[in-house]
Amino acid sequence: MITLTPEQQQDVAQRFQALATRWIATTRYRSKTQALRNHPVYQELVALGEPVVPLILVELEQQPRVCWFIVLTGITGENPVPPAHAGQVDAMARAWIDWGRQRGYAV
Amino acid sequence: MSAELEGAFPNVAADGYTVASPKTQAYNCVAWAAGDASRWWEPGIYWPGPTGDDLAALTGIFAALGYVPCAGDELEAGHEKVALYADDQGNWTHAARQLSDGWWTSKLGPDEDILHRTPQALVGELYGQVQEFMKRTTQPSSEQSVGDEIIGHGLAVIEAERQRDHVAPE
Repeated sequence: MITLTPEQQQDVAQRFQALATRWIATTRYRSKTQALRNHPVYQELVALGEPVVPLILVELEQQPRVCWFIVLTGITGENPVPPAHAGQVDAMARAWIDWGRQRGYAV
Repeated sequence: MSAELEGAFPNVAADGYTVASPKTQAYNCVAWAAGDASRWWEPGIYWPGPTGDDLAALTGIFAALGYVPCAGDELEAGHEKVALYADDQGNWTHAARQLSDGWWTSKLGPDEDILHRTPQALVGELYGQVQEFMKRTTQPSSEQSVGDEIIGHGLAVIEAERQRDHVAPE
């Protein structure tokens, strides 16, 4: 886990919020979020890297959205969702949140 | 009605539509067209068939559900139809399902379900064009849910008219 100074944390959080707003708008009405992996906003989110993982997990806890799963996988290379829960958005969000807590993220 | 929705789908207002559900992330258009309101159907998330971005991946899903290609969007007694959309690269974008009264039901990604008069309502930049119609014999198990949708359709229209009638004249 990368340790950031408070100033760096604030900077990452601000950049994340701006990108998150754009990402949610970009994925509006779309049933195929996976098709947006080449989208500039997706690329910018993934480029922020591990420091935004806990921010995404908080977003998932507050309101599960499909569009976050591909970003989390893009950053971490992982997919902790059991096959039995594939497609069940609330259960997928819980799997990611549990994954984050097991790795020490404050969610 | 929704200005954002009508901005995203320029044909929808002229075609005729009603919003039929709150927004939900629980399912998407393919799941809804397939009759599943409990999962998000997308390759890489949940996809009960050969994966892919192209239209063949989507037609394969509905073929597995018993649908076969058909000519157009006309209502046919004893059959249920789906309209499958793709962009100009041939990648699938959307699926809509015909109800037994001839209207169509669509889940708009992570947003709401709408009822629209024709599949043409949703063609445009976002979903591209309707590239395939498929049909199957109406399933006994779907008759109840279709009935519920028709009732819901009627209630949505009544609610829309009620709201319109209660708008104060300018």
